[in-house]
Amino acid sequence: MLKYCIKRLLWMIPVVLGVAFLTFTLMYFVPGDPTSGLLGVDATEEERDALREEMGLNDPYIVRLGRFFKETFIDFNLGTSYKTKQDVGQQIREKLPNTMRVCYFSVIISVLVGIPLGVIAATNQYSWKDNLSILLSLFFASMPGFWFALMLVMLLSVKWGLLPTIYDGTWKSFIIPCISVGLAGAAGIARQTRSSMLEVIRQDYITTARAKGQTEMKVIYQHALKNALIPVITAIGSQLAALVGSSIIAETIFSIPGIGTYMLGAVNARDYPVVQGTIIIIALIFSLTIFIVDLLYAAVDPRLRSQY
Amino acid sequence: MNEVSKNAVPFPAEADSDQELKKTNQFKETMKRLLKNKGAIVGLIFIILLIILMIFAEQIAPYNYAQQDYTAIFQKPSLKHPFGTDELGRDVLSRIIVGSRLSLRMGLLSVAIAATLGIIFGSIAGYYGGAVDNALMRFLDIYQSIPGTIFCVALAAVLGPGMNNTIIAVGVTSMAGYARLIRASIMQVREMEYIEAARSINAKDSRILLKHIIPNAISPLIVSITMSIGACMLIAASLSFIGLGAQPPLPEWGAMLSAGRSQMRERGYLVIFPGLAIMMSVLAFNLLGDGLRDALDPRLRN
Repeated sequence: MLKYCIKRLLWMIPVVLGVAFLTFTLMYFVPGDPTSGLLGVDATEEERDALREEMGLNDPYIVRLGRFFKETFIDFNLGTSYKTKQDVGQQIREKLPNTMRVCYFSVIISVLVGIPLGVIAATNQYSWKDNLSILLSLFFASMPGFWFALMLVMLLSVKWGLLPTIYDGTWKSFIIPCISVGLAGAAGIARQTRSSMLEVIRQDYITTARAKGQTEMKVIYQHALKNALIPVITAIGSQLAALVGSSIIAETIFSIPGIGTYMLGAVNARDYPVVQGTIIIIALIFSLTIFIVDLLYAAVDPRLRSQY
Repeated sequence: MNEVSKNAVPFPAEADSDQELKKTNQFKETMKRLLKNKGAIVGLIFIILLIILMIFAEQIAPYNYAQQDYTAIFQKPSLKHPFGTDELGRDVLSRIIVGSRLSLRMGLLSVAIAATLGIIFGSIAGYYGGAVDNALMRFLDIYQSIPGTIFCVALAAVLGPGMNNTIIAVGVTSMAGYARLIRASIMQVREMEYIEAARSINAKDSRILLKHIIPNAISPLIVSITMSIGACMLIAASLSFIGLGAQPPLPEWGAMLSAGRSQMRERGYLVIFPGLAIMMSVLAFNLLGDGLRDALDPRLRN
């Protein structure tokens, strides 16, 4: 098991290097010049060129790439923003908790909505409850998250005045973004739960559990659900990828000062260090999360544990 | 001589018709199963309606979508304007009808780009195997460790606002799934005898790939394409909503939502209807995709 963990962690090194390379190359080749945002429109070509020279933007690709890799992976320094002159690492540390809050609360909502929905559907197969929960999860999957967020704002904030319409630093302002992001993710989890529960419910050990007089609640939630969880965890893992993306859109809608808004603003200003830094950090966190999800398999399935 | 050729003709013809028969049967069977699924029928009908709406948008729309009427700004939904009018007095219903073209185009074209790239990557990896496969798959690992939507938002921002750029961004960033899918099904097909036969008659690699392997590996791809048209429409609409995709005054649904957002407090209808339009179309594609998956799933046959 330890060997497997070490192997997975080591594999993350080329992944992060690759992401850094990909981002750097992309930013290098796209048109756009960071100096135009810094000097304004009146600046002469000479002034711009001098600033480019000073920032090292006139160096050839390979030199800039080498410098970027050395700074990032040897000095562990993500550089300073061109625009605000602030330390990128510091800024990310400040903004990351907000993004994480949106992501992880959304996942929790997806799981809390998705798993019960799938269980209800599976235990009442072909009944109206099954149809209703399939329909609900289809609606969740097809709803544009940002639109649902707007509908919630209209109802909860504008009409009833319960929640703030926009980020104001309190936990209340996270509720609408998290619900709107989380429900979209619930759909996939509900479907996966339904189909794997359907398979498990027909197994002999479920009949045995019923035969020994176990209450139906315990049969479903302790015997069946536990065994049905493995594919569901895969579904949660793949939802995470989608959730990270939709929480960035939620951030821009509600102007939550997270990594998403930070990155988007930086891309438009061609603020290279910020873009590179945020994408590297997001990829790193994302790979770590997937790794943890994989470890969770081993935790719920002893058969897998013995394989490593 | 004459007689021989006369006699020789029926055989290939018969073989052809046999093959034809088998083909139509398989197609018919799939259709039959598909049509048993109520959800899929609803989705299919809605998509057909949507296509009709798209083609005849100008004829169906009650008003010109760009026509401004300053005597009728911000009208609430009424008989004259069923979905109300916006800040320039334009009829929202007409804009949604004409906008169906833009939204569907974004969804379809980005899926087309994603599928093409995915087929190219996946078939090269699956067919050649070995080091090529390894290199391409490791590249995809890295590619996919940047969450898709973030990559897409970043790429769209880098390319600049605009519909075509959004289509490219959505297409390029969602190709990895297709590549893996095609690779897996090609690896299954690759060892079949008919591929060996094709190779033994010295067919070129490109011919074997295009004529023999891909057609036989394509059915999971069809399901996946239908399922992801909806998802791509959603991402494209979100990009337009945050100001990266289609730009106002284009009547793209996401852009309309974005424009209506500032008026949301008093005039909710400006955001309700475009959102419903997005949701219904995405739902239709998801329903059809679901039905197709069940119909093509060999485990569910009879």
